Amino acid sequence: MAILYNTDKSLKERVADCLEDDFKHNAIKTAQEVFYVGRGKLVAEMEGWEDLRRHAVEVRNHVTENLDYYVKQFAQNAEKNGCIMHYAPSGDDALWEVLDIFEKHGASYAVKSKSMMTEEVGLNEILEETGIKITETDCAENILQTAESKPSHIVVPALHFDREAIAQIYREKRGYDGSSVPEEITHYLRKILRHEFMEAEVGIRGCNFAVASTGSVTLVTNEGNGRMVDSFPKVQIVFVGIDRIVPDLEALDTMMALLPRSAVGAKMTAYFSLDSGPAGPGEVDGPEEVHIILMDNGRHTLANTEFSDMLRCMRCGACLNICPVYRHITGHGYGSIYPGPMGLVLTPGLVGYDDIDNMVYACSLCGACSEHCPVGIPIHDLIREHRIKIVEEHKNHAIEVPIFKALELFWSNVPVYKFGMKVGEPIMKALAHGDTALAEDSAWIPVVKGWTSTRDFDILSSTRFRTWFKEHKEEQAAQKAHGVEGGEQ
Amino acid sequence: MALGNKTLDDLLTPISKQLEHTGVANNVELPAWDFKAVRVTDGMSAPELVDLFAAEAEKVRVAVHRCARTELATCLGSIVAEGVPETGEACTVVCANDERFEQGGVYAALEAQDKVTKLTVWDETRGQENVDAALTATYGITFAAAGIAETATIVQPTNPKCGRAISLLPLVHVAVIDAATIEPTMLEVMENCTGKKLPSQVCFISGPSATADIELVRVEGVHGPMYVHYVIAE
Amino acid sequence: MRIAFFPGCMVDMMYPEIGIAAVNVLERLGCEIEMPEEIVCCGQGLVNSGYREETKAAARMIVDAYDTPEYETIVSLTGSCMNAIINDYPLVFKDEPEYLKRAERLRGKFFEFTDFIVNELGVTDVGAEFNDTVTYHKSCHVTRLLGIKEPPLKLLENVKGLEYIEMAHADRCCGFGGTFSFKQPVIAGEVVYEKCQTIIDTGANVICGADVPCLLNIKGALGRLRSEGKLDRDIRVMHIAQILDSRG
Repeated sequence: MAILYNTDKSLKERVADCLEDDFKHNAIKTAQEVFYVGRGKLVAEMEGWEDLRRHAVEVRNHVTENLDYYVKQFAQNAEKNGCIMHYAPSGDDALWEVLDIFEKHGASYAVKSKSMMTEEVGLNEILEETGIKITETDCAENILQTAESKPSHIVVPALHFDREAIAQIYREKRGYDGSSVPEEITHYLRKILRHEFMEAEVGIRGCNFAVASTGSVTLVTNEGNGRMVDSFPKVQIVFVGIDRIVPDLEALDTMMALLPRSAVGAKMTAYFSLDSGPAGPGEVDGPEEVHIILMDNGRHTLANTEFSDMLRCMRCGACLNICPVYRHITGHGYGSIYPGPMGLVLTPGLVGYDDIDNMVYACSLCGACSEHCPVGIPIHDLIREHRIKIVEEHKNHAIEVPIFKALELFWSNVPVYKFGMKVGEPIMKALAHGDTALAEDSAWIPVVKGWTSTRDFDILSSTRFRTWFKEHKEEQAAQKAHGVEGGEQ
Repeated sequence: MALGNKTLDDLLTPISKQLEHTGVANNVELPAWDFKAVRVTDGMSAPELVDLFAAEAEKVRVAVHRCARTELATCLGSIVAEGVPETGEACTVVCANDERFEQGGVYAALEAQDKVTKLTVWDETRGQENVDAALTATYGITFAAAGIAETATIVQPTNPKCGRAISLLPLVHVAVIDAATIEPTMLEVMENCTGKKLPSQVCFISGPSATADIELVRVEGVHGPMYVHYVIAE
Repeated sequence: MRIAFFPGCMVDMMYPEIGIAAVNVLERLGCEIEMPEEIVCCGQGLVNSGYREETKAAARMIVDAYDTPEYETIVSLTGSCMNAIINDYPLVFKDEPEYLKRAERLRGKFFEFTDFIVNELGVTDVGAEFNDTVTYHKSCHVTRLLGIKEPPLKLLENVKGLEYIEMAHADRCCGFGGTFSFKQPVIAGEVVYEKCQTIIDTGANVICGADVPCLLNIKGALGRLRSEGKLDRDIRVMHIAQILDSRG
């Protein structure tokens, strides 16, 4: 899978599919509220929250402004820790490096803990094509892999399946014979996956933050699959994005004070590991070899542009959990592995405008995302910035251009506006059949149908406010004049 | 350009160019941040930090025990004396190789329990056997390097005497934390680590392994321990 | 106090009664109101759709009309348009230094209607009486982007006879979003119908707000629910100015 998926359907079709699925629709709404309420409670009781946010912004900006330096510092220090470094300017470079590692070890079996970077480059598909077995070990990711489905939420990606569907997937694909009680299914996964962790030759994982001063990588999980992946397979491959770097351990604390609270409404996740190189002498478990794939894949093109704020993103999902659009169209509506508000900024930032359909218009610019972002990204402004770029690069739909050109004229010329009102008022009145609003029966009219297909639209009033105001002022002046003459004041 | 075999420079050059840097700087000083966030632990005394640590631990479903340093053996003995949680069956125990356990008579106390059929003390010379023992053990016992009061987190570094498996594979993880090592927040732990050679892994653990992946129903004991005990030695 | 009034084009086109109510309220509070004639629309819909260049003509017109020495204080009846003027015009004019400077000057002179009454005039009781149950939509632009949270609620609190009932998620977007409503009607529909449900759930007879575009959207959705028989009572949609202008 690359960044975009399900592109044979249009945004409109994907959205329609999502809205049809009541279970999925409601599951995402519930998840939003659970995470949002949890986050809200913790943030409210944390006096220093805004200070931490501000500091996170200055730290992350400092790294972005000196990205080349910090990438180099991290790489050199990780190498000093004994990690084997692989540099991947592109996603394909990353795939090439991974395949090379498997080939050198003659390995054919890997376990993976959830990593957006590997999704971004389509790692699973490539490994499977070359006959390498790769097992997703996060419960939700394993459900998705077994069901051959895609994530609908970035933190709880399999929320679109109910318990019965999940039990059925494992009954069919893995011979599960238990009930659909979540606890029983989860403990079944514990059993079957534990075996896989012990057998696999390679562990593949992501990295939440990479520490430049120590060359360390980190992993945040609740289930413990990340720890299993980085404790038992002898060869470990770590995907690190160049936008994951923090300067030092103190900065790491700031980020970790923000991340779990923002992501899942918890002060801390069950596990957070700080890994600095392969197992040391005398250590029985832990990887013998650690390969770090340091990947760019288009990220640097955001630096030093209007979009550089996006390089602060820590993928917490807080913006998804507050978005009024995401809650309805779910992760599947967007057609990108990066959905929701952050996805609307990042996806076109990485893949450009040619294949994203109307994605960046799936946003009301309400600003809730920007308000909640723990690293202060003006997300809704950046979504609009993409729209501006699309128009500047002439990648907008040709059909809409005359409409906006007409609005340009109409909204900037009083006589044209007044004429429009004069002509428009009786037309709308006629279309409303004596009512005060256009109803669904006007949904055959282009543009208007965009509105009236779902809502009524009030018609133009018979008088203009400006007309009333002018008369009102004239009346006042007349009264005043009269008052003065009569000596009443 | 051919795929793979890229150098660090291949990665860095486009970044420098985008930033309009003529090359990668030799040194970048961190700005002098004027930053100190208010934390809930500000102004707390050491005993208050221990209380907060214990209270937060209970919130994340950790069983908390507080005992005198001299009574560690008795306390740990009584925990494993329960056998397998819920069934009460006989159990095996894997334990870190720690001088404080040795001196406190912990190993003897563990072995003395009727329900403990086998005690494995981590021994680097026996390699994979340690992991195999942890794989089937009911209890894994470690001595944490530090605790974090704000989040009820324990800091568990890995080393030849305490492998990653002990706190990960058994059904129950029992972590001993010396009250004197409980820090207010992660920041103090990070500051203590700064400038030192870090072990291959420092794991920050805050409660049992858990998931809410199926219908947001919380289930404990996914890949790691289902039950976690903190024993605070004071 | 002498003020310039910015009604927003929707008031001019569709809801003169809202503008009239606001003028009544402000005049009662002793304001002498002026309004330039050469205005149409702030152009927000264009820039939010990405048509930055095309926004300039409308934006220049607004700047020319309001950035004059005679207007020291400008009161906007719509938070959304005011946000566009003070926060988006710098982007629109980023390559037009002269208008950029003038737009930035406007920033300090613009006040949202409720904020002006409470924080500039220092009035929280305008002497209104409105005997009904009311809920208030905390629109994104007024509440979040302009950060005006307390003033409208304080004003409602002091209206005689008014019973305020807060809706759930009162600050969640109504789904208007300018051209978003036309470009993504299905999504916008989902969002507004959820908003309507939270309004209906309060049991209030009146929904009010301080942003005209949201009210148009909410009114359109409640109207559709009513005509389809999915809503069994009338819920009035009003601008807060109309409530403040009520006299029992």
